[in-house]
Amino acid sequence: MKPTTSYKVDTDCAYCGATCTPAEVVFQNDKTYCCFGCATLHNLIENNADIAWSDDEVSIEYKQYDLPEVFNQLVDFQNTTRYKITVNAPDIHCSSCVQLLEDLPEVNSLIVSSRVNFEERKISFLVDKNYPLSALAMLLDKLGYPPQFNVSRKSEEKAKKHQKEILRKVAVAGFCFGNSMMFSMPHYFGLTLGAETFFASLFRYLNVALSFLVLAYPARDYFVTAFQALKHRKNHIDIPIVLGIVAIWGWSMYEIIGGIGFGYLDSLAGLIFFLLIGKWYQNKVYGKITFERSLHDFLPMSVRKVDTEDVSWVRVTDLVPGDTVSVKNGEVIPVNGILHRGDAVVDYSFVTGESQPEKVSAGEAIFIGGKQTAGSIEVTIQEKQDIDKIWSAWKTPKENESTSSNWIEQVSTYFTPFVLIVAFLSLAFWMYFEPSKALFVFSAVLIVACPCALALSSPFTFGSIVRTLGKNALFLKSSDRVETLSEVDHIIFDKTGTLTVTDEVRVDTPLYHLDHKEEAYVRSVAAQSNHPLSVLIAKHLDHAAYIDPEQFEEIEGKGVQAVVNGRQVRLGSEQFIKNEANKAETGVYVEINGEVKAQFVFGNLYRNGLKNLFNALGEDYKISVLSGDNDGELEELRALYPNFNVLSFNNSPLHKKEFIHTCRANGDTTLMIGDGLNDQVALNQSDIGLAVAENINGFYPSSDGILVADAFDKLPRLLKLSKYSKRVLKSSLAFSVFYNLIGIAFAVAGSLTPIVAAILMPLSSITVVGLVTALVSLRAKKLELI
Amino acid sequence: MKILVLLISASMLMALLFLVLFIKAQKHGQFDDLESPSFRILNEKNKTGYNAKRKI
Repeated sequence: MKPTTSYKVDTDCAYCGATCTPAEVVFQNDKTYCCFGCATLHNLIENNADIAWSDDEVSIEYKQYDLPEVFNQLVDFQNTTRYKITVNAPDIHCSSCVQLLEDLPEVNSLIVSSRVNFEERKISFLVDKNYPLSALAMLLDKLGYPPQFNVSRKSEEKAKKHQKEILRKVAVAGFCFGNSMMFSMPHYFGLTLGAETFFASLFRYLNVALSFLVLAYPARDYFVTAFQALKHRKNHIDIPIVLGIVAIWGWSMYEIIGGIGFGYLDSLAGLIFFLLIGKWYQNKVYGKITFERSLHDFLPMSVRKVDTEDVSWVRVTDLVPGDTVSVKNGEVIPVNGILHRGDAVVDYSFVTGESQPEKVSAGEAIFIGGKQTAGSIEVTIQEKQDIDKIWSAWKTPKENESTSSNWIEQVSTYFTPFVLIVAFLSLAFWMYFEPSKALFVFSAVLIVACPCALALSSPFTFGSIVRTLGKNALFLKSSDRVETLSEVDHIIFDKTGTLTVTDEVRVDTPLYHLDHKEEAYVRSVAAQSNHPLSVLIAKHLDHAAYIDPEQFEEIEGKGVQAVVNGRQVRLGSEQFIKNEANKAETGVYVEINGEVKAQFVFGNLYRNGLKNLFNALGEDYKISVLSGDNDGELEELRALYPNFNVLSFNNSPLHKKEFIHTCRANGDTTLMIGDGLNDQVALNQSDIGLAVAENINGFYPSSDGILVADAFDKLPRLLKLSKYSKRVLKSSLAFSVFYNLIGIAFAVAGSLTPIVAAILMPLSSITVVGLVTALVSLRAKKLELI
Repeated sequence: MKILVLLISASMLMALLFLVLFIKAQKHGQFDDLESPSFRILNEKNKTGYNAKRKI
């Protein structure tokens, strides 16, 4: 049913009537369409709406959404007849997708309306209550847009709301800044108080009114954070900012009310305006990915409960001891219990890091979080399930959140005292020589020593680096991680899934006596099964011919057998073929007519360019590799890079954690790179933990960032860019010091006029922003990252 | 010169009006999604085309 593209010209689209462009025409069922969206949609309408699917196909993830408790958690709104739901659909990629999805109400009248937010890859549906959520999810899945429901969307919404409010504050501050500048204009150009008294005071008091607005709304947060920081005796960049704001406002009010001058209220509004823009930008650059998914998003919320004959869906928390739960191949085991029926081969890598699946026999205990990899099983639970408690057993909170303190904030520790000292010195100086000017100079120093550039340089430096990293598929949790990343001196790699490719394996054949014909037999038998190893063998032998086998039989968890051309062909585990129980072997044996002919062993395939990667990183960093596997590949890794700091095998997640702990205790700043799931404890322990992932929508509980696998070879350059952040910060700091010195010189000399302030302050902000952005993008260009 | 009073109040009012309009537009989600409406405009056209065909 997949439409094929052809190059028929001069036809109208059978669905929308538009003339088809030759390059995009889609040909399906003897009709032509202008795009894929039209073809799919028309097909749906012609064949009387719904796409059909059998009940078996509705997977556990979708079916559970119909449970009232789950449903209520997910919907945005509901009444007796309808509900509104927003789903993430990362696969939306073009205008046809939008069109198709928004035309869904035409296909199914139970879908009242559908609206796509392309930028966020989200769809909002208004749906009739008669159309269950699982059906909607399945429909989307069938159309090629598997939906993702976000249980913890509340925090995401909160962040979005906050960002919206910052933008509003920017608008208000900008409004005040612009108007305040206008009213100050006459004064810049020498309108004296005597000449047009009425207008002079009108302008001044309008400025005062605007300044109240600025303080009351856009500047409010600075006061709040500064106050809180003072209360907890902590240093914060907002403290010097508030000091500056108070000085400017206080002095300006004194001048205006006292009728001696015009004040600096325009500069005040400008200061707030630029600061808020910095804040907004900082939030903007890393708003796209949510890291804070709860564990519940990963675990199924409901399970198939097996009664004598019936299978029903219940929530995990509603299970009582004695209940039996069915888990299908590839699903995550949602409970702790005893294996009741079936052969379990459980991959506990997510929980323990053990990459070899564990075999469990009936009657043995089976644990939550493992992934069943061989057929369906049934699990009987022994005690009430308390998922949070079970999870918390191995989920430790990030330990190093507060240890790294912001470098810029350290600088600002010295900033405030320095400014105060200069202010008091000049106060003393002028008191001695010309007391009437002393107070003015004192406040002028506080006014002009603007921490604005200081406050802007870090969000813009980190922000533009995070953006560049994001463009190259390294997504950091927040921009302050760049700073930690730049201090890293020890990189620790996990092996499986990080240095090796997850979706490809290397096939070795230590024993191989297959001739041409026999290869064809093996291939044909392997092609019958969906077992991953069978698929691999079939793929490995896809040069051989295909012959339809007879009497095909699959013994789940063991192997397959069939008769091809009159020969008995059996593929399977050592136990299956040789009747010997040998648990550790992952190989597949081939037996033809009772004779063992070949053995396939599956190994890891290393990523391309690892050698270059290690050599490039080796120049600047200590490199270690920790593997959960046995040391079979020691030599291979040594050949890639001889100078590993530590190369260690057979590590449990706890070992990895301890290793990182030791490194950090020795003063190393560690970067752990793992696959995000089975070594999350180690990622958590490390100063920075990066998860290597095929896509960014997965679940990476305690990582500080996600590195998309395709970009793995860019890692040295990405790290170089992050290292550069410190130099950018330093140069921007130098610039702001330079500006401040000029400003302070004016102030100390007692000649800080409003026009000087009005020029210096915005100019310093703009220069700092321009400087850091330019430096980062130049560097990124040099590293060929943009 | 007194005309300035009028001009200033007019300009302030206008600026204020734009500020209020901006905030209102933002609250109504006008800036939430800047991309999909450009696709939607095409879709609307398609719909009429489709309906027209159906009637025949």
